[in-house]
Amino acid sequence: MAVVNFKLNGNDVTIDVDAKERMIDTLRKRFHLTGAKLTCGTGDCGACTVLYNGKAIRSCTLLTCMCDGQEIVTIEGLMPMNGGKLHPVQQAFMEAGAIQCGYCIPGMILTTVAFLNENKNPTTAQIRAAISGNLSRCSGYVKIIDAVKLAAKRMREGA
Amino acid sequence: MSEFFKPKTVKECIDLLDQYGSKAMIVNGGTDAVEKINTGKAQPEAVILMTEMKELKKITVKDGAVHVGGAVTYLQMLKNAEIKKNQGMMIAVGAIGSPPVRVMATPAGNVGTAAPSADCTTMLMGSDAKIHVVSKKEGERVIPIDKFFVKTYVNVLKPEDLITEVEFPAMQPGMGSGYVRLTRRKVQDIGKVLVSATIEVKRGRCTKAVIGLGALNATAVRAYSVEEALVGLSRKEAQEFCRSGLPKEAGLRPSRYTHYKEITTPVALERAVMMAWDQAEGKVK
Repeated sequence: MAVVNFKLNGNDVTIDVDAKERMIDTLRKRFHLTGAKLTCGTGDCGACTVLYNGKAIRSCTLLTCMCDGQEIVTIEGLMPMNGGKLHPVQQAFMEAGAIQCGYCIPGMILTTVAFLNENKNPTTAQIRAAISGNLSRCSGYVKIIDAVKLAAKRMREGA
Repeated sequence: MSEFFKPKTVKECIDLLDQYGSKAMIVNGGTDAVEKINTGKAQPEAVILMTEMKELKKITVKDGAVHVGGAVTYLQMLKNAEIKKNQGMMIAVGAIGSPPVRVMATPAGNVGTAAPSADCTTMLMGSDAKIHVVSKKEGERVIPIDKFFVKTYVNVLKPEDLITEVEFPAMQPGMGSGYVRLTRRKVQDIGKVLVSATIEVKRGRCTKAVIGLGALNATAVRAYSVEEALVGLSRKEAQEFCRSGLPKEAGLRPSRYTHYKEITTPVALERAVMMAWDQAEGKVK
């Protein structure tokens, strides 16, 4: 077993894990944070996306021990870390009607948050490239792209 | 149960590899390694993380060559000014997985996995790259990439070896590179045909060519027959030659894609070489 210290949704946590344990399992089984979904398990679908030091990454190909000393944010942490209000990206996804079954949405939103933190005024092509690693099987992506544009506008305006 | 280690120096890391041997597993970006662990293909007693070895996180240029450290990520490569000069490398690296995968995944991990359809590996093959390796017993070795792969998912590395860097020639005036991948989907797909090219052009004639092929043979391979044939040709002659047939090094294996690969590889080769040619003649910024 190995002791791993990291920041999870703004809080310092310490856990004792096997070095082979994946972050997606740690989040879901130990912390009961079920927003990130284990789906493909190979880093392809994006349903397990979390923020790792502010960048969107796959938690199914991330060992928990790789997060020792790092910062992880899940979908559950966005609102508390935004002063108890919905993050502008969450708000925009709701208003644009970008959510159907919702399964891919935690990953989509976290990918969008990381993307818009680096690119405040993206083109449609850049948005499509940014979310290309997050698969949605029911939305058709059009309203998701609308939501990203709306979120970008709100974030530029300082919402 | 497994332990994890975060060595801060290469020396510390190779000491651990020497101690644990085949019971150790280096985890770099994790993309391939974690999947192997999770599917039971690897059950290491010691997980050795590359994250703290600052000396391996740098991209440097020395004596006309680009040196990409063993822990450098694709994201780092895509933001690097020297890599941006290499058109083919930018296309190959930018096509790997998706943006979140490229945050963590590394070229050292790509060559270490030894997949025949790896984009970065194929571009490195077409760049005449060298793999720098170190172990406690054998010290430092430099292995040309065309001598690095043994068969599908097998390379020449021993369990106690560490990849410290990947080296390839820096772009110079009169030099260009190109990369073409044929896939079923635009993103997040494993290529069915991969072709990389780095060429040098002087007074309208090819003076040097390095060609890599991926997803065709059991490993990524150098197409020496094409390289030799291209030298001395004009752009139009090179284009015609590339279209003339399947390079003998392609070594196609029987699969449901064999026919598709037979007819598309020459076209992909032509496109990669022409892309490199355009850059060599300054037609691409």
